[in-house]
Amino acid sequence: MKALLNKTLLFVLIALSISVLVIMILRKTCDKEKFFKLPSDVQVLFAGHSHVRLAVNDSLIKGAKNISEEGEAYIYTYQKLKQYLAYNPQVKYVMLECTNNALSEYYDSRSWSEHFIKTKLPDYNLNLESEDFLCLFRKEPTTTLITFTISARTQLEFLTDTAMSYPAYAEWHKHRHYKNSDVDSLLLRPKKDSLDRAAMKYSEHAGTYIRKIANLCKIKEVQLILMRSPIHERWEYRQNENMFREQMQRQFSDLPFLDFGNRAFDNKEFRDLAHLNYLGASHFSGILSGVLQNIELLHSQGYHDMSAPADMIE
Amino acid sequence: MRAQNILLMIASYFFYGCWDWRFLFLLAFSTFLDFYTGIKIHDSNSIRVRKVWLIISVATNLGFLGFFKYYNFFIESFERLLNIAGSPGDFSTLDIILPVGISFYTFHGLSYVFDIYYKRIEPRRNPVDYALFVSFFPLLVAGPIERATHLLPQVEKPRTFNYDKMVDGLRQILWGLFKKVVVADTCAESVNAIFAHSLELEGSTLALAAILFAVQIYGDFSGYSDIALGSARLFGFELLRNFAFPYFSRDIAEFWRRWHISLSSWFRDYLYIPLGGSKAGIVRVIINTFIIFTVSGFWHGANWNFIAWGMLNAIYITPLVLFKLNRHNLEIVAQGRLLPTFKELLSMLFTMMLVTIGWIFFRSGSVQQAVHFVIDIFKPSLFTIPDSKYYSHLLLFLVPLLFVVEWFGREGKYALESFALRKTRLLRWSFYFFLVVMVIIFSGEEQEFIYFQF
Repeated sequence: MKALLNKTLLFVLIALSISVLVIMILRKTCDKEKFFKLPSDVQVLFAGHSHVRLAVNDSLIKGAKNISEEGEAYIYTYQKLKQYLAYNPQVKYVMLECTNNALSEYYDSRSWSEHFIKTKLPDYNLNLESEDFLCLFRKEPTTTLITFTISARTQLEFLTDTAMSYPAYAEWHKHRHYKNSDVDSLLLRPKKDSLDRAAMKYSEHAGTYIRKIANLCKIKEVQLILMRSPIHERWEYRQNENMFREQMQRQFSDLPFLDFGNRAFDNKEFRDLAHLNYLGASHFSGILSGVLQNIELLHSQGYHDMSAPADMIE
Repeated sequence: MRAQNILLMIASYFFYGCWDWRFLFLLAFSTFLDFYTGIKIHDSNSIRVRKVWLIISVATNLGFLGFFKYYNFFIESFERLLNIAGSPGDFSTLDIILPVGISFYTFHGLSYVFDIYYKRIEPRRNPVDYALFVSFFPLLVAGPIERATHLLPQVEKPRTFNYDKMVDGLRQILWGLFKKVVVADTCAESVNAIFAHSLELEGSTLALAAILFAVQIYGDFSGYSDIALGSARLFGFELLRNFAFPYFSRDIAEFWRRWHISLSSWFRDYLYIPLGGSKAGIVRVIINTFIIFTVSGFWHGANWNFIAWGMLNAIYITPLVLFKLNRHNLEIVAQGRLLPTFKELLSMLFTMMLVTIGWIFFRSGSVQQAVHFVIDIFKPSLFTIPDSKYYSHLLLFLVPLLFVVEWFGREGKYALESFALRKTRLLRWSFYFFLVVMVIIFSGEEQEFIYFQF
């Protein structure tokens, strides 16, 4: 029995050491430029979660790239921007989505729930800072460690497939458009009276990572602009509007904020109460195009204005 | 020995309870029922009374299985039948959770009661021994379907530490993990993607999915069986072998002697032979063959595609049974030789092709989808290069590796058994380390075992 235990222990130790070594070698071989290098004319990045992914059709905006993803919490946007800004010194502006839900504690589960760690972290854990790693590790230790094996496996995948055509990556970081609108049927449903407590509360975690993104942009000499895409007036998370406005003013008054949240869009331009469909995205992207043409001028004037948003700068 | 069995029984119940503790009562009730009816059948001298106890046990066991697994299927099928007849049937289905492993432990219990009824074994008087036989955790959720005649004597004997058996058990677990975590789960990603878009893909991509599913289901289920057999060996038990390199079969009858052996032999002993087997007249043999394969298909799942899969296999095997060619290939192919003959190779490929077509019905969501899938394979686009978007290039290395190792190990109980005897320690350990590293790297994206749903 003792001999077996000793041999098994030795075997497990050697096997684990080899595994760590292999994972490290695979990490070293990762050609990140392949994933993060953008065309030289891209000067504006749109980042954030599903709102911006659906709202901004980057093919209609000159020199822009939509790198947002559904359900993306700021901790992952921060990792993503670190990579994009490292490989794209030509980028001048980062437009970061700030909406009522993403700024609330309700959205924190998007950072450290098992599902989100598994789907978001493997793409970025190659360059995780210890603070970020610990933030996730404390909440989900096993899953956080597992993501290293997922990224190693993905890397193995890319070593054998130079076409980078694996299904999960075919849709990587680009605008997603939806044809239909469910708004009319959604409006027939009874209005939700109150939100969960977490959705009414400001998330320190989200705030920390928006601030980290701001610092990163400052170091890279990139202008960070916070932005709220159009949302329907009946969207349930508008119930935390007071908290949202108060915190935007209190925490981020030093950052420009373009608020399109109250812009009148037709029901048929929304996919649902939170997201635009392709019609809305075309409309909104046209507006953004105009905004970006005047952005240098606006930049010099300063435009953190909560009450009379976006219209004034078109 | 008594303490060993109590500990293992508690551990097995804990293991099952981790999934859903409420179904522990169902497991315990089913165990008690068969334990009690087994004693009653044995103790009675009247044939009528023995039969009544047997019917109580069979009806109750199949009643539970029928309710949890087949209730909604029967309701929906009945409703559809009424609709075809022009009557508007409107029955509500139930939101039923299928207890994991119910098909397996029900069949354990039934084999015990049948064996007592046919006087093959004596009933057990120790409830712990019997409860361990039914609930032993390596085989509880997905088999192998054990026989009382095989496992109960092992339960009743004291078990001691055996170094060689432990090492052998660990080796079989490792190979099972590789087959499941590395090969089957990687195939599953491509198979799922292709089946989800089957209507818009080329014949070659569909054919690739069918082949990959054949590999997936083998890696998944035989991988599970290797893990189960290896784990049981660590505790001193030898479970029934469930797979014997089925994809190296030269005809479909040989395939069914090598695939899910514990289920095939269960149906043979408790259904096919009591129905008359192959000793009856031609018509009866054909009917018996169709009954056993249809029931086997239905055992797998409450859906018409499983029944179609069973019937398709019955169609494959019937000519062999009728012309008494079904027992031509009893030994493993190319025994004592490195390579098969050309004829053997062609026979294996042809058998594999038949089996793979059958698997399309097994994997599809409906018979209609399966038929479309098969028809779409044989389009002119079958001769194009499969769409690389839908498969991982790693499979070009992993699948051949699986088949090469299995080929060289085909004369053993499992692929790595003979590997351990022939190779030098350095080569052996290097290969084991390679397997462990692959298992660790591929372990991030977990996929449930296919047979857990049955």
